[in-house]
Amino acid sequence: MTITREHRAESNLIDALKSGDETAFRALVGELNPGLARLARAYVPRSVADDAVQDTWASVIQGIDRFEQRSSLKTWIYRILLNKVRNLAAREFRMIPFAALGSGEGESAVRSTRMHNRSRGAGYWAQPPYRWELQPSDVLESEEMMEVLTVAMQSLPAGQHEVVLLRDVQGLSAHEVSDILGVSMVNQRVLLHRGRSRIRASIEEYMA
Amino acid sequence: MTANQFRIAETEPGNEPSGPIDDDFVDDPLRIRCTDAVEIITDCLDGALSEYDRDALIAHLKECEGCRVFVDQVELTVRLTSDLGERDVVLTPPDLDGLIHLLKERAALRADRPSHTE
Repeated sequence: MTITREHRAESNLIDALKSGDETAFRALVGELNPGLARLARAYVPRSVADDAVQDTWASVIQGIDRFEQRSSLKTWIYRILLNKVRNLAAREFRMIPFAALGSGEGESAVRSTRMHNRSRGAGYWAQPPYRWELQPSDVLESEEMMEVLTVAMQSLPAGQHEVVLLRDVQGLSAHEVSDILGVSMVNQRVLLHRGRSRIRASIEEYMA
Repeated sequence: MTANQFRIAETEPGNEPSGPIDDDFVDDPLRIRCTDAVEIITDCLDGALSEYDRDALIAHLKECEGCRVFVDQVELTVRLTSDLGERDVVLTPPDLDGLIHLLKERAALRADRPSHTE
């Protein structure tokens, strides 16, 4: 097995953490804390979420000896956090029903009633969607729009919410998100597609 | 995939073209329907489509305003969603100093017992 440059850089970081290197730890926190906090706050109330992130970092410090680099450090840390908040959410807050963790069986990107064209028939747009994307940027990037997006995200089924949050809000790669959530690349993409489609529909509804 | 295979697929139950038979869309083997096109946008943006499907999608988008608009809207949705990532940024955990203390404590323990790190 060839050791990649990333793997070696990460080994160095792990050694630094084990030797108590404060600078290295602060840098790691700076890089990952925003994403961890955002993910946690999607599951539980703010103060509980922040405590879960604190606990996660403590677990990282205490568990770093046992970390074998089978996944990346980032993936490992996210998984620790995810495990904590999913348990908290299910046990104490019931904020996301994980029984409904499904991807939304048979969900389509556009309601089928909109896909029946007078001349082309079934499966084609009856008419193109309303062109809200042509609105000026001060409308598209307004506070109200951010509110609409926030509400739209909160209404997503858990699986879709997770993927949209990690992929589009946080900017993690498809591979990272697959690793963190423990889903295939295909499934991760299905969830992402459905989440994005729902959010698009919410924007369309708001702008109409 | 030959044009003939495509036509057979088109006439499966529930899949019959309900427009006029001599409509360009029905006979063109490059065309996928809008209901297909909108479902493979994310795959395309991720670079996960086969060349065959990508070509079919591109050919469809050339002819279909509805789907072109849809793609623009999905791309804009992604951009606006990523803007959410710039807000409410939590840079540090509640007690970073406590964590630093723990970090150094653990390092000291390891120094006392070097076999732990092997």
